[in-house]
Amino acid sequence: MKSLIAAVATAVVMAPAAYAADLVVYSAGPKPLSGALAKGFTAKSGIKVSLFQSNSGKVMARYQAEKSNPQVDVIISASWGHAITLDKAGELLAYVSPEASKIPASLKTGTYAAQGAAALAIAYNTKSGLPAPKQWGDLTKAAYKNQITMPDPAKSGSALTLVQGLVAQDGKKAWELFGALANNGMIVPGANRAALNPVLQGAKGVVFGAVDYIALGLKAKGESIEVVHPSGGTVLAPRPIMIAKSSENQDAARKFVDYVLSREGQKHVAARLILPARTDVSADRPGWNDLKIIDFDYVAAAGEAAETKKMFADNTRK
Amino acid sequence: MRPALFGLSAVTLIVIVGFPVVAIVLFALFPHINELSFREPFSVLLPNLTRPRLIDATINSLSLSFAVTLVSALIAVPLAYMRAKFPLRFGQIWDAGFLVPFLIPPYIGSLAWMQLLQKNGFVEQALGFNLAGFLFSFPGIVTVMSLHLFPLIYFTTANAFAIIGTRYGDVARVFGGGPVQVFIRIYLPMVFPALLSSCLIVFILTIEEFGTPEILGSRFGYEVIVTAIHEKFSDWPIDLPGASVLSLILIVIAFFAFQAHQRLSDKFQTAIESQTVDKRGQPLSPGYLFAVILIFGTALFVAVVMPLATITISAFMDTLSGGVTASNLSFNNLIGIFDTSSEAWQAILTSLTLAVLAAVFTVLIALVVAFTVVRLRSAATVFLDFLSILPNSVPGMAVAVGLILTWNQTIWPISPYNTPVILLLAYLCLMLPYPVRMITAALRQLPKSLDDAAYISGAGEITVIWKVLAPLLGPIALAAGFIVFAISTRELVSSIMLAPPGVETVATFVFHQFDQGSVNTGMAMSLVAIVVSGSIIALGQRLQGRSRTGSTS
Amino acid sequence: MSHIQIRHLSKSFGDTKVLHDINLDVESGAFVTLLGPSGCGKTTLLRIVAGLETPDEGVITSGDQTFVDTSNGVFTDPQDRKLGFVFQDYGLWPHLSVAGNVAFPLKMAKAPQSEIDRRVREVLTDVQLTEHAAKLPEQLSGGQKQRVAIARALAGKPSLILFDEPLSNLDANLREELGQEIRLLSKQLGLTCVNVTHDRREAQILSDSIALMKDGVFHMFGRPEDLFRAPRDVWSAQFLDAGNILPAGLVLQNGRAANAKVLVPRGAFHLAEAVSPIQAQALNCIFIEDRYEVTAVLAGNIIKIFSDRSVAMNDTIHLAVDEDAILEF
Repeated sequence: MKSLIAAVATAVVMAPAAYAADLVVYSAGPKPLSGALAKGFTAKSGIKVSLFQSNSGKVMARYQAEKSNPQVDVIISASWGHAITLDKAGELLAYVSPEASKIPASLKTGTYAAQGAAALAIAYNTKSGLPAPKQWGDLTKAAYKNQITMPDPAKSGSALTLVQGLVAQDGKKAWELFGALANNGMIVPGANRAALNPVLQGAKGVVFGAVDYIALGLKAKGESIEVVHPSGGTVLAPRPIMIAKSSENQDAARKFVDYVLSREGQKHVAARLILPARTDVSADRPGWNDLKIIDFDYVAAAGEAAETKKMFADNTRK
Repeated sequence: MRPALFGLSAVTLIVIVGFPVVAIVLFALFPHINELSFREPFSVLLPNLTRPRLIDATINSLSLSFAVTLVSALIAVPLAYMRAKFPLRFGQIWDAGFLVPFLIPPYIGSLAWMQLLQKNGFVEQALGFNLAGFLFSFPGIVTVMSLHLFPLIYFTTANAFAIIGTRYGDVARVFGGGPVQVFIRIYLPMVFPALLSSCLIVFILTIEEFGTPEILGSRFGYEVIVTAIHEKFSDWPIDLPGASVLSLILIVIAFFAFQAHQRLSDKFQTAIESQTVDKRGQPLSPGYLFAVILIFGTALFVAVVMPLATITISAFMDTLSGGVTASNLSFNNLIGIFDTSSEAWQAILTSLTLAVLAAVFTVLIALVVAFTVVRLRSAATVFLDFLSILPNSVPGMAVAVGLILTWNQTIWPISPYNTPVILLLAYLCLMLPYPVRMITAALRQLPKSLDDAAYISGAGEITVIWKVLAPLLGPIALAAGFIVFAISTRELVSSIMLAPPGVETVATFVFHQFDQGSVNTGMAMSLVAIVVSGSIIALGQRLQGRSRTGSTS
Repeated sequence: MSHIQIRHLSKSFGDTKVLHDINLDVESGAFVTLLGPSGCGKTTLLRIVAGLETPDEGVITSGDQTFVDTSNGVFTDPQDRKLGFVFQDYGLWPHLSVAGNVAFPLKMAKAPQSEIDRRVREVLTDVQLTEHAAKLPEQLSGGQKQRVAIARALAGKPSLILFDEPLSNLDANLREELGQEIRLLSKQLGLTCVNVTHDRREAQILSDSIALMKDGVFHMFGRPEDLFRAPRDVWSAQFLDAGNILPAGLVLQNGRAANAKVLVPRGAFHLAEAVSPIQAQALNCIFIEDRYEVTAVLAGNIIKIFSDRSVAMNDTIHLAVDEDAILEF
């Protein structure tokens, strides 16, 4: 008991001092990736990293709540929209890493760049006896009746990106698609995991808008799941890395961004089956050349995010 | 001396509970308080409160809470009544069993029920039918939440039955009351204060719970206030002031629930004449014993064995899609957790340390607060009483934001923020209501002459609490401590927000597994945590049982 | 020498005034009982003396120690008043043995262990409980529990002991026996005692003097025999059960207002040898101690008288009255 109290007491006194000197990184998952990046960076630069690991929502909530006394230096989110909003509010440090030259122009700006990207895909349980879907629209067929799940754009940044992309490309027809999916018994149970698990467990058969690297990772682990990138086109959900303007550790922060975007850093990204932001690093997954990407104006779409979510809810909720 | 003790209770409660809650209230009123600015006051209040969806969510929250409280009481009270008449030896085993639901995090429990009952779930794989229609419905949520929360009512009420003993019932039997009548007319009114106070906790916990409504409710579009709050936390742009406004609604509901509870419990307050606690139980006829064991066994099977078995099976499944087949079962997940790094052990150790500290501190604080509230009764202590139940009504997420707003300020010379201590503060805040409720209810039934005799004998108030009341409240304090311990080992929502960089608890570890890694690995980690903290509780109970028999012989 | 002095003591709970300007002197070594119906303020007064409640106004001193003085804010904590307290419901700590209960005040006073052991043995001998020292309170009878409570009150050698209805939870025989013992013990040890009760019998057994309380004031004060022989008014006579209260016209011929009430002690009535103008209807006749106690109706009033012979129920009895014993209010 006494030693426990002593330990905690020591932690109170010691911890702030310890963290103050370190580079503070808030990162959305996957955790092994953030861990590997932090470790690799420390090995290379000698700068210690304090890593707060969570999902995008919690990372941003913490950032917001801390505003009176900001703690964070570098933020990695899974949602491009987060970077757009922070940039608009002028809360990001302008920095273009020399390593960003190999990143496609659509995935970098003057203040933030993609660490990597997920592509949105269809994931289906191969034991379910469903025909293999090829296009988004296939899932409106009777064969998939009551077998479809989709992550909720209100709770999943990547699902929102998918909706935005399809609407940008197809307009009204995209909304008709969502309506038809709802009529085909599609459920929208929550964030990415809530949509994927019932499919893995066999309660449902197919995910519309799965985050591809998670599904690919599970497939590699032996889950009976297949990932389809519709040949008609899919959207990328880039994962922004950015430096907070309030950072008191800007040099280290820049070095960290450089490291993440370097070939070495990007290999860690590739190891998690995430599409690396650099076109010159390959991953054991469909790469830049294998995917047909729907290009659309992320910033403009972000401005209409609230309406998009509402439209989606109106079109799918009965 | 009395002002000193009142001051101690007040300062402790204000720092632990008052600060974060006031921070949330301020945030709701001044949406830029996180930047230490008071601009645009009240601007987020009306837009949030007038959303039509919110009215539905509020109605849903209230009906869910009433239903869960009612069903929990219906399950718990008969069990508690039977427990008080039960031979001690068996009783302790049952009690240990009913502590298990506390160890199972609500979100894990809900996932387990889904795994069990959904289409192609374990039940269907074994028996050929599924209960998906029931699970994803209002009665389904109510059942799952009640099975999870009824032990709170069970423990408090069983203790109250034990304190009453059998004398009053014997009197009623002599005057011709049948067993059912005696139960309804004599025992039930006498345990009513304890029953009410535990029902209040269950009501408020249901209002506050996130995991089950999120996991089960989102499948049939059932939105409650807390899921709306969490949407504000996760839906971009993050709307912390809006979430604070919605939290205010929960606080207001809690306030009215608390008021109603005060009224009712004043009405039903009974003083038990003597403090002899009948712990022995009565010899039961074999037929009756069999019936009681059957009822307890069924409750234990449904509330504990079924979810726990599901978690266990999941923990041993290599792939989710593989189903329950011999080839898909192995120790790979368990090996995987501990093989790759020491993180899992670290997380377990952190959680256990925090949980032990939270249990010890909350029980100590609760003893002092209960004493202040019950024995030094005044208008001011009623406020303390309310303050002590308040955290149960505030979602963990909001408490986390309140704690950040409070402690992440440059005005503090040293701050617990960004150290593990902030997690301890969060747990103290969130868990305090359990021991305070339980110990307050028990203390009300101890005669005041016990304190007075000690004062006269030369004891001060601290000595009275420590030497006289604490030993008498020992069993209930220990039970409360175990509950705090159990819940702390698995607390997720505030942990995930407050964990300092590099610190993982069991719950955040599991969460990360669920979020990005494998569900089965997460289940395996949950299972390990349940087994470890369950063993610690079992060990504690054994030690306590031994020391008790040692002192009376 | 006066041990306890109470001056101008008042106390209210909210709007209810429970004690009005109480003044009391308790002589050293005296046994004083505060007697009165429930709600008369007696228990509050006792608890104020003990320090378990604070008065709104007033002074209490004990020897040269000031317990409380509201005029200058002096308040001595109960633990510093060095008194003993015996509770109606015993107030024994169920988790401590008999010896543990008794030793508690000594432990609080930080007495050395050898002294504690010696003293515990001593007081347990005083209350005849030595062989029960290791038992838990729940293993004792009511009388034994109260003896433990007394031993605990005595343990710290206080010179003042307060009793809160110490005998009222006990059955009649035990009450008599333990009451006598308490009185004897208090005299042997030279203790000053203040007792609170609503039971006049308990007050009679224990006290040197009695303060009869009504509505927060001392209604009468004096030796038990003075109170019982000369109650101040009808209320006192009724509460003390001092005798038969009757309209004067029924028993006195001297022309006083016929409606005025008089007290006729039970011993003042006796069965007349011949026909008497005072005639009553016998209701019941029982033999108690060494005489008969007859309940009868006298012109619509229930009376109780003593008799050395038995009376049949419903008989008309003729009564003589000893006019000198009658007390006129």
